[in-house]
Amino acid sequence: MESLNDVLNELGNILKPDFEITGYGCGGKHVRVKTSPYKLLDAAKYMLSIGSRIVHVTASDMGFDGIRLMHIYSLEHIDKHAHLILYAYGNGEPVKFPSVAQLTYQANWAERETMELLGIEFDGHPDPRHIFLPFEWPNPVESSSESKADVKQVTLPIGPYHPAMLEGGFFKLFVDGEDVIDVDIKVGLNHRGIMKLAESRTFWRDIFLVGRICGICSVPHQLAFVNAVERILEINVPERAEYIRVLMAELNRIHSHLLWLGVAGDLIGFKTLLMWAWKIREPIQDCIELLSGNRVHADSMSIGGVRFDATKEQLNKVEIRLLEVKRDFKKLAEDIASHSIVRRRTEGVGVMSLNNAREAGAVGPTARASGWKIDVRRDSPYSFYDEGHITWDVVVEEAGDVLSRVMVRVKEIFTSIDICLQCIDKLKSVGGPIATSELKSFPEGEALSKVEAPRGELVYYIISNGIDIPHTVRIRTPSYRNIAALKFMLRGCRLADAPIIIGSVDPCFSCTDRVMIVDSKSGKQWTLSGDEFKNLPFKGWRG
Amino acid sequence: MLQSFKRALEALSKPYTIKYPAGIGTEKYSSVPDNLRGMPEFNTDKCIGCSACVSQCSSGALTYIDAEGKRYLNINLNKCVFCRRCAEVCPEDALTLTIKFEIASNNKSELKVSNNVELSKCINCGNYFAPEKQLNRITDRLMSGLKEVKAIQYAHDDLPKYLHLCPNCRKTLSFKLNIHTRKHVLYD
Amino acid sequence: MGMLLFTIIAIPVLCFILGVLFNYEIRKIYARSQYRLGPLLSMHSELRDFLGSSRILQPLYDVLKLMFKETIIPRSARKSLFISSPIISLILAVLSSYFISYGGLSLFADNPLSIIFITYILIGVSLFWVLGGLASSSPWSVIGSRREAELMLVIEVSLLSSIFSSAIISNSLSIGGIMSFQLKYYPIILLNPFAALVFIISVLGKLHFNPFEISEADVEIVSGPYTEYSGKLLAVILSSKYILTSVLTGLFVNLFISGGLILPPSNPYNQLINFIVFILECFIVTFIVSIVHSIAPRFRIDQAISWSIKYLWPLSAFSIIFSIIIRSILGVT
Repeated sequence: MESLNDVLNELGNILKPDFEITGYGCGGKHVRVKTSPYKLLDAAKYMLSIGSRIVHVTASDMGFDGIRLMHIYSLEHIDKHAHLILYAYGNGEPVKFPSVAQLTYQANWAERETMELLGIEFDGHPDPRHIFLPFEWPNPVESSSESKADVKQVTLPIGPYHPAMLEGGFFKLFVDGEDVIDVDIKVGLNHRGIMKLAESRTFWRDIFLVGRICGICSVPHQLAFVNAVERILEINVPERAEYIRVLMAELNRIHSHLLWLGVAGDLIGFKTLLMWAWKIREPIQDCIELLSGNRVHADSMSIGGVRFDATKEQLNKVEIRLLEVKRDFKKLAEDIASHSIVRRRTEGVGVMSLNNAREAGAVGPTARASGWKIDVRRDSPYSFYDEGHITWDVVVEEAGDVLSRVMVRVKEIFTSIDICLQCIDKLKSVGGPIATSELKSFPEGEALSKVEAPRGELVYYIISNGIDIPHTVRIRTPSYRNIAALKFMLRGCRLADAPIIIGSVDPCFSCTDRVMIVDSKSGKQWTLSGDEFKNLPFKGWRG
Repeated sequence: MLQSFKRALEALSKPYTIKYPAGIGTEKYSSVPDNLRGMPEFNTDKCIGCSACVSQCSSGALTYIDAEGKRYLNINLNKCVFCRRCAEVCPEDALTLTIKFEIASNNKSELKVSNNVELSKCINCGNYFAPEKQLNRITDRLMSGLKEVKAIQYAHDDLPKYLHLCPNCRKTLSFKLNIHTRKHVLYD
Repeated sequence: MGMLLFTIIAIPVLCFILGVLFNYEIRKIYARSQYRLGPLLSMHSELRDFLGSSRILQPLYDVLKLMFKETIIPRSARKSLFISSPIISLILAVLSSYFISYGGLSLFADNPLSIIFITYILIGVSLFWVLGGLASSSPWSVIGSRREAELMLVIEVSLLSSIFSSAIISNSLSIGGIMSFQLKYYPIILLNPFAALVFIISVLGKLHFNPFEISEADVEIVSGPYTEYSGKLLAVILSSKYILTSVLTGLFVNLFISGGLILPPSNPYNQLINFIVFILECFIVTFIVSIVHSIAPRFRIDQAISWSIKYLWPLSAFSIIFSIIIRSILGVT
């Protein structure tokens, strides 16, 4: 396939007569195609055959039209920015769609999530269990029903409360001696309902909300959100604002990777590495604080620009600190790379092959460590990541083990520092406003926006219906994919390696558990009967 | 491993952390910048009680209550996320974020920043309806924005009447008081 | 008789206090090597009222706090073994403390077979930790106990060989004899540094310090054999650990750096100096242990065993041979 148009033509032939291009976004590169529900599977087969990957499967309740199921396919291997948003409307009670999870594991979690959020039923889903609710829901929990299956096999729970888990995830390891035979992953133990909450607040207030999905990668979340809103509004961002955005995003990446490095050290029993890495991270936090006024939540993004300007004095200080960090971290990186026990604990551990990575749809450093060269900053450049403004290169490692995931992040820290220094250089000469003045009222429209968060590709899909409150906000965080990909790494590993393997994808459960159906005031969700629960998606989400 | 050993020995003599309560203010914590987003503070002289901040507060920490002839603006610091949005939208720059950040307290009532503004009475029904200062500010801004002599004259006549009526009375009395919009007069 | 009773009580108490101090030192060095302040010698003036004047006794507070907490015994645990094994391990730890010479002051150190006794007792301490873990029947404890048992298999061998290489040099099976040999000739650490190295590594394994913190690996198996222990029983385990810390460091000092015996213990003044030197030497040993603890990650259990068999066992075998050579050179009879 040479171009996006070829793909569309071919897809038109396959889907005939239910093929209608309903809109474009992002300079004609994001194509929205409407089809009918029973054609979705054919389309998925074709799209997967040309090497496209499913970015997300999500749905939105569009009122009288019914429930709209959207498959977002990435065509970035054909053309920069290119995406296909294939959607179909479903009506009825309950709404039924064919499942693409039977074709690819990438859609597995996404469809399970959609099942719970909107009550859609997917025909032929290989693993139609709950993802946010307890597996047994609405039946009572029966403990000790499965332990008799195999005497040799011990079931070991890691999480939801476990020293290795800083947040609530649940990994049920089936262990024979020290060897892990199989693993079952359960997330969603701490739902917060942010996607639903975002649909009841104005765009301006949402910026601060999405920044608080995750404390570590708050900048990418806000950046993705404002990018999507700007695409709906069709406004341009001043040059200086774009540089500040890149600077903040990269500072965030450095601090996130350093934080991860420390945690990884802790997971192999090297608490000293935790402290050493976090000592180096401290000046980066200071830089973020210096520029924005807060160490953790920079809150620097705004629709049409940024909220805080960077003075020359601040930039000089940041530059000095960054150079210090570069010097200090170089030494530490050499330490780690040459530390014999660290290598022993990470080399050849938790290997994920390139094929597995593609099958699971891993993103970010996890995918790049398996030799898969994907990076949103290169594939669909946002802000000023394109070649004209900043020069940098994607870091790729081939081995796919924990060590290469460490090395990818270590090298990315240096890349990020370089990008930051370039931004500072440019900011010293580029003047102008930091936010656009061409603000207008919100039109009807929808937009897809992707950002390379420290953990990988972060996707926002926003539908606006013409008022200042979004109709739909859909978020797919990178950890969502990477935690699902853990299944491939954990099988056959040693028990002692399980924590570092789980840690090696930098799992962010606060990102993963951003959705819920909880009324925290009444705690009502635990008192619903089975029938009430079935109706809940319709009652709860339209109420 | 030898490098790590060297680093550990070097680290022994120079701890990086400091003893915790090093005191409040920039002198003690060397890295507290001037633009730190800390505890919000009202400038009671400047605040006109327009509640623009309330409508834009991202976490719902800012609320107002009208009671006993006064408008009480309260910031609940338990809810506040220190995003500085309120200070950004404040038309009078009456709300600022100080660099005070050690605000933990055992007493819930201390976790509150508040300001109150006098409300003005409706000249017809006598109910309180809007802050006095806000009405004055609206008058000032309107008058300073007008250029034409005729317009200034009309505004000067009508505004006192128009602004000091509550929305309900304005509806019922508008015809009687002859305070319909005078666009037709201006644009004739 | 009264003197004997006093010694019987005083030695474990002394060991416990030393254990508290050594654990404080380990924490402090561990923290300092991570650029942290660590437990404070003098508390910040503003916090003194809330937290007390210092944190030097933090390890002691840990034990005392547990004494007042509820002891929970899991329903599925084998109750008698679950309760008795920590107590037996504490008794064994206390017993082992009588065989150490504290700068010349001791109870059984001059027993002609004291080394044989202490090696047996030291194995027993770890063994009952393992048994307690197995008795609690939680998957974490069982895996932790298994790791501990596997580690014991390799570590005890090297510990024994290093102890006996110093016995071979000095031609004595009594700790007192080894000390008086060192007073006469040189400290054995100078004669046979390999044995001392093997002993230090074995101490790391015995006390669960990195890189052998395998059986307690908190991020993997919560806290290994002790996962189900709480309250007083956990306090008993902790105190047995503190006593074991001072016993093992004391044993190292006795066997390799002359046990503080720098002056002949003829008068009380010399004895006091010897005692102080003994404690100082113990602190130096603890310092080395804590530095190694802070710069190494944890081995995986299979790596620990293969590493020990590959490097540690040949080294300990070599240290025994080396001892025999040294002995023939010195001509000890």
